[in-house]
Amino acid sequence: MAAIDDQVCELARAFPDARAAPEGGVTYYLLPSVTLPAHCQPRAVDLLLCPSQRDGYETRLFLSQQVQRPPHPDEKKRLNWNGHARILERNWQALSWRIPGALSMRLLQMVLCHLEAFQ
Amino acid sequence: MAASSRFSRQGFLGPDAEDILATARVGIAGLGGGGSHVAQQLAHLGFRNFVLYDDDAIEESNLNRLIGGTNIDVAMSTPKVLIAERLIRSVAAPSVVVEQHQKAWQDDPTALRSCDLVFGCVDGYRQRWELQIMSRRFCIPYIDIGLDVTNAGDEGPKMRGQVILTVPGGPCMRCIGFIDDENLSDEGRRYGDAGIRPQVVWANGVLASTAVGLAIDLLNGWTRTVPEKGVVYLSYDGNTGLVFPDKRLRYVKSPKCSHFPDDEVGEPLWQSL
Amino acid sequence: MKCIVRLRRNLFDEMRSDLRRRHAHAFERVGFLYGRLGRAGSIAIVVPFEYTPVPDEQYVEDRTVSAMIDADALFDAHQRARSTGQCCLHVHAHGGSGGTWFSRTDVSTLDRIGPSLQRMAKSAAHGGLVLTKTTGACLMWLPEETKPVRSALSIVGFPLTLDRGGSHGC
Repeated sequence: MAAIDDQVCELARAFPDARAAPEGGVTYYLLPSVTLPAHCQPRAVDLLLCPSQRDGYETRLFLSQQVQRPPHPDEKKRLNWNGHARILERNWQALSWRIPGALSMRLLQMVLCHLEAFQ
Repeated sequence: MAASSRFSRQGFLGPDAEDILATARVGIAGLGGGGSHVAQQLAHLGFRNFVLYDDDAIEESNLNRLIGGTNIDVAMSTPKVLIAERLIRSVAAPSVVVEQHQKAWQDDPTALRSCDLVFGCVDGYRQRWELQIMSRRFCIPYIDIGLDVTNAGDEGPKMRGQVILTVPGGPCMRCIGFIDDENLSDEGRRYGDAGIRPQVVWANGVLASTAVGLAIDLLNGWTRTVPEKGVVYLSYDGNTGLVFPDKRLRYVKSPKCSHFPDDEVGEPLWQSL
Repeated sequence: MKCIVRLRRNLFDEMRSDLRRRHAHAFERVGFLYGRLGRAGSIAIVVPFEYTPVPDEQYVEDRTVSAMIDADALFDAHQRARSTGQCCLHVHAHGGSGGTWFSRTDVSTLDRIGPSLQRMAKSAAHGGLVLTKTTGACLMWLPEETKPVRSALSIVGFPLTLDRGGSHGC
């Protein structure tokens, strides 16, 4: 796997306002005010990437609030909010969204795979 | 200062004890079976500054254990924090300050951060871990209590509980093996549902009393002992009635926490990438 | 705004042990304590995490005062505050046990150091801490405030020692 610095640079190029902070042994990546697809409400949310195992998931992407969108025709892809967490002094929400092999992905890849849930 | 007549029977705690307890601002997250016991005892002992959090109201199934809860409360769906407040005010000095929040502490942690000591009487490992994190950031000793009854097949029910006191800089609940990735993940897989756990008043009382005893000793050192490993981890075996140091303590090698670096305090420090 | 300094007991013990050491010519020792700021509404909570003694060679020989540290010592403290944004407290010790307060000389020193540290790191809280065997006293300059405040001091560990003299008044 590519060195973490390289992955962080790549993430920063895609999200120039991105920041990182540690808590309890994990480094989290904050992506402020990310624009979601047009069918989502709200369109802009803060994202928090947890790039390590948590709550039974390989990686997790938290959002600053739950997002609504029209129900997906495929039931398996409907939004199921099951993660409410307090991390770095803020409250976050997360979907039940598994990404096989997530731990071997680059940070940017992880974020994009998580965001597929909102396509 | 000599103990007033109200507290004359606890004079052995020392001449300053009444003042010390009256000064301390104590937070209780969760005012159910465990938290209601804690609130009652602290009020009797002379604590005068309380911060209470619980987003729930009493139901009939709570009446077997929620101290201070009444049939009328069930009929009125009284919030648990209001029951606790009423209980505290019924025995505490008139000058008692009770700040109650009918919400989860995470929804507004301001008051909890200002506490000198926090009791966690909540369900689930994730809830406990979040309280642990907050207490480390704001340098607050944290006392956790919890109870579980499991069915061991032919052997019948097994009742187990814990009372844990961690202080900033010392071993945390991960260091002592009480919380780990496995139990957090298991809970996460159940959608964060800690489940409807069996609960009984006598066991909650044992745990709460033990926790309150630890709080008193922490505040005034009346036993003149300091935990060898810098943390207190007591297990309760409800089947035998015994409370004893948990065997996992023997695996704690360092008096220093390995999960919370010293400088991970205060507001989070965000670094640009 | 009110302020609480929450000092871990092992850090308190470390500082006390260091400040007790004899110096070749200074009558007492000085150090700097670094920490971070948190908030509980209108209450500032300062959590120190690292103590740095002033090295022996950074004391100026001056028999008219208990201790005088040189420009390098002050510069190092200011630099660290500036580059890290951390809170910085000037620390020394008085004898005896129980409550204490800063001497006139101490206050005069802090009146210079506090505001100048504020200029280095505006978002942090800075000031002074004086210790006794059992507790101490704090005077803090909070962000955007020109006058210092007497801060409550808690020593957190076994036992937990709370400031009963001037509570944070919550």
